Amino acid sequence: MVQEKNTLHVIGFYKFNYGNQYFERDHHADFDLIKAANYNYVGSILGYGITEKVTLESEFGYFINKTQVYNIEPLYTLRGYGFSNAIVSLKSGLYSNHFKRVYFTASLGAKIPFSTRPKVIDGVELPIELQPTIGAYGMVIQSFFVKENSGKGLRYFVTNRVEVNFPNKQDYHQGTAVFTSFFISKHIMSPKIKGDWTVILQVRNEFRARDKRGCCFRESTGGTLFYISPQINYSIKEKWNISTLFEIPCYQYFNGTQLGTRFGITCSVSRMINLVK
Amino acid sequence: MKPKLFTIILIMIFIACENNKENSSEGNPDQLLNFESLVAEDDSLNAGESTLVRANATGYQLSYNWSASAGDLLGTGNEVIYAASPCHAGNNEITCTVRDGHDQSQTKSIIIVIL
Repeated sequence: MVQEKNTLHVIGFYKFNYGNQYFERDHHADFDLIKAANYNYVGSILGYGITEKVTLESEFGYFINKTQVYNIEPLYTLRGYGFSNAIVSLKSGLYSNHFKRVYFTASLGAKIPFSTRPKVIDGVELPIELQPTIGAYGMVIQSFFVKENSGKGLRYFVTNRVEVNFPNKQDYHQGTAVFTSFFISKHIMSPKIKGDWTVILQVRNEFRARDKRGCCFRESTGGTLFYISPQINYSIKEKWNISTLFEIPCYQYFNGTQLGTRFGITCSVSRMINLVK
Repeated sequence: MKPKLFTIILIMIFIACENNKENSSEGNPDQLLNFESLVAEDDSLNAGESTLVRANATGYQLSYNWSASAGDLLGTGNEVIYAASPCHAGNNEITCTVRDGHDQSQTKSIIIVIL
C-alpha cells in the first residue's frame, strides 16, 4: 500500500541463500562443477509518502559475498562482493475501498546498477554469476493487491514484480524476471501470547527468461521456481517491525543444467517515521 | 627504551620490504615487455571440465589481467584454470593482458570451445 503523506518507511534487511545441487530441468543432475554456492546480502528499502496517493521508493543493497566452491583438486573458492543495483520507483494507490478493505497499488521504477564495469579481483574478472551486478539498466513494474479481514486479523496479498533488463556494455542481456507472490497473514490475538505477533505464509513463483549474449540465447539460463516461505513478524508499539522468513523451494525447473537453491533466510527490521510530527 | 622501540620499527620495516619483494616479480627494469604466447592445455572441453591456461611473458614487474567471454577463471598470476558450466556452451574467448612496471601492456586471446 502507499504510505501516508510525509511518512518515511525505512526497511533494513539481511538475506542468506545457499545451493549445492544441480538440476536438469526439474530433476537432480549429476553435474558437480560447483560443490556449493551461497551469498550474504544486506539491503534497504526507503519509502516516502509524497502525497496521500504517491510514494517514492528506493531499494539498494550490497553483497557481502557471492561465493562458489569449485569441485576441482584442490577445492577452489571464488568470491565476489560489492554493491548491487538501486531501484528508484514511484508507487501509486490506484484503488482503495476502506469499507471493503481492498487496496490496489502499482509502481514503476528504474533499475540502476552501481557499476557498469565487471568486477575484477586479483586481476581476474569474476564470472557473471558472482558479479554483484550485471551492470545493466532496467525497469521494474510492480503491483500489490491487499484484502483485509480485520475481524479475523487476516490479510491476503498478491504481489507481482516484473524486472525488464537492458543489455549491459558487454552485450549480455539478462532475461526478464517475473515474481508472483501470494501471502496470507494472521495477526495473533491471544491472551496467552504476549506481544504483537503476526504469522505469514507466502507462496512465491519466480520465472526467469533465458539470458542472451549478443545474438544468442544461453541455453542453461532461466527457469521457474516455486517457494514456500513461512514468516513471523513481531511489532513493537506499532512502529518497529522485526521479521524473519525462510525460503524453501518446493519446485524447481531450470532450462538446461543449473545450480538450484537449497534454502534462503531473510531477517528484516523496519520503522515507520512521521516526519511532520 | 627508545633504542629498543627504534630497533623493533627497523625490523618491522625490513620484514615489510622483504614481503613486498616476494609479491612482485622484479626482473630487469631495462627488459622490454614481450608477451610470447597464451596457451591452453585443452582447446575444447565438455561442460564441467577445466583446463590450465598459461600466459608466457617476460619483462619488468609483470602483472596479469584475465577475462573470459563466458565461464569461470580460477587463480591469479600467469596461470589460471578455466572451467565452464553447461550455460557456457559454445566458443568462449579468454583474454589476458600483461602489463609491466613501465605501464606498457600487451593483450592476447584464445578460444576454448565448450561442447
